[in-house]
Amino acid sequence: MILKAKDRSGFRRLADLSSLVLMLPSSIAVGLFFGYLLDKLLGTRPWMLFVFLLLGTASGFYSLLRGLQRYTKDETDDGSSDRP
Amino acid sequence: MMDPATVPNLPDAYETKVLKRIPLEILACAVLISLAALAWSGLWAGLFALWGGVVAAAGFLGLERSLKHILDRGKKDALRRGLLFYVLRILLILLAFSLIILFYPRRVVAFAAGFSAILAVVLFEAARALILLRQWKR
Repeated sequence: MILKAKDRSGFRRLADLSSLVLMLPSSIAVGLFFGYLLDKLLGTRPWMLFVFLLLGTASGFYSLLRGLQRYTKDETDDGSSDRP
Repeated sequence: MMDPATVPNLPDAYETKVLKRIPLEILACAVLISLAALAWSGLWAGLFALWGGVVAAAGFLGLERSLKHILDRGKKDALRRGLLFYVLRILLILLAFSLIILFYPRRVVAFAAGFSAILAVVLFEAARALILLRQWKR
């Protein structure tokens, strides 16, 4: 029983960390992809790439902040619920 | 029921192992991508892909340390400091991308491919953890 509960919390923490880690690079990658595509279509190289890189980074950072807030809140809640 | 003292601290050990393993896996994946880029479009593309992987691994280590710092201290001040360092790292990544876009626009795809090694590695580790979790549930 104890082992199962511990497993769950460990894996949950790992999953939360993985999602936090993925937020920024995935947003940057999506921004770069769209920027590159638009540059090719519109012939505006490299400006769309630059603009979408900034947008991707900003959205990734915003998601990261929100995720971090949720993660730290969960950690605090778990810590306080463990106490007798 | 098992005595809590005899229960191995399995998830923590697994989590620590995975977190230590990920940067090395990112670098290994980036080396593979850079070899492919080297064969596909030459030495410079290979080098840019490798550089992207190094930046991604450094970014991962930075985020891990910032999170550890924030969670260990648990104070607003630590949160602010951790975020400040992370913002600086993001600015450095942005600077690297901007310089490549401005001076070597054709190499940005190779750099982004190396940088995206982190996505492949984290997804691979997530799938692996899911399989392990299913095995343990049985």
